[in-house]
Amino acid sequence: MLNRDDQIAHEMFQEIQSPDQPRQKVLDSPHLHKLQRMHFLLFDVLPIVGTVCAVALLFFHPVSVVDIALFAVMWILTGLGVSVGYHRLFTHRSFKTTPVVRALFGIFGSMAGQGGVISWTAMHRRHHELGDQDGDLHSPNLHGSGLVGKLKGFVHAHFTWMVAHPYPNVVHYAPDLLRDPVIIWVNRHYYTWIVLGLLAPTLIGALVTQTWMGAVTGFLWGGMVRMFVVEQGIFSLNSLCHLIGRRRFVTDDQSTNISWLAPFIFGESWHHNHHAFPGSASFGLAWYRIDPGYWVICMLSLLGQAWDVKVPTREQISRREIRAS
Amino acid sequence: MDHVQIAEQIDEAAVAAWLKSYIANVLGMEDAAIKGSDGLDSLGLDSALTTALAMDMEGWLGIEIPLAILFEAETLDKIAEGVTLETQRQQVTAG
Repeated sequence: MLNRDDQIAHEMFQEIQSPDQPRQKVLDSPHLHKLQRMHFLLFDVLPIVGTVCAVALLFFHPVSVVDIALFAVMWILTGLGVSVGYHRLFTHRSFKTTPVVRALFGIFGSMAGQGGVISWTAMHRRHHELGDQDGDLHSPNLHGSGLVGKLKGFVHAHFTWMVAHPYPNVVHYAPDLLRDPVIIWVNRHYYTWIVLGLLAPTLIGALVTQTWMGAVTGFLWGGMVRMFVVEQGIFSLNSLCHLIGRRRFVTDDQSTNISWLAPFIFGESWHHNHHAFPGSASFGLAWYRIDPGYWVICMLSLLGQAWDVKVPTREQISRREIRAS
Repeated sequence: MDHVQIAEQIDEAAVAAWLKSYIANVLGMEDAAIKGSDGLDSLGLDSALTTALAMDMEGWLGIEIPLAILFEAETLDKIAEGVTLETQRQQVTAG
């Protein structure tokens, strides 16, 4: 399965490139770094501030059922947008679905504030190409050895790599998405989706409670806190899931599985399984491992909204397993 | 020194033709549907695609292209003009 995936990826990457033309795969530019800094402050730092405010407010104003519901619904929608949409569907093409479902996943994924779908896909494909080697945009394992090196690596992979980073050539890494009009449309309105994702819980909070305070706490819990929680989950994949945890397959990177994180990030923390079988829609690779992202794909498949769902067979999995000799 | 020889034949028309065929290829359009008076934005190239274009153009010309040329020019013709000037400037500096 992996070989066929590799081949598809290879063809995808080679599609537009002519053999006699050297191709630059990433670009560092002050112009782009400025945009990245702005994005970092708005969508990575601000949610932390918002979360601190939400927690501080608890001392004066108890959290309401409405706030908890807004948080939960927005957390699930945007978390699935990233895990099922951005990651399993757009980056790894692990299943096929209708244009409407593609648009919805793209929109909810955009609301998470982790970048437009095309950029995110290009960067993540590069991460798989160079996992934990020079050129990986967010490896925690390239900052020296020892505890200090690991700590530096953790901070970089978890958070600070986003301040300014090389930007991938999207024509090289994501030519398939550039041919999909639905994706182009979703990608073009990235900032609109983010604003909508913040405006919706604010408005609902205000309308349901009929108070200004309802708008404020709706914004904080349904907007800031849920953005913070989804982000910290995904950031943990880049940091923790390449530092601590278990390995069971032979892979070129240092990815790991962290089982206790799985319920909180839609099954994404079976990250080592995912690096071993990047084309698989299932990250748990077994029914008893918590993998809500895959369960959603199964549900869509039952409803006839998803097909060609790729999962390796038990035999393919066991063939790759590390055996104690 | 190959890239210098290629770059010597670069004029605005060649750059404009490269731009049109590149964009047509990426967006799945016909070359002929793209005019020199079109802007990157109106054609549907956002900053992600424009950056990709810059990288591939740098590969083609063998020079470094300041992104400002691409982001600030209003039309493809203006970009071709800016890139051609930049190519000549960097050749003079290199020579």
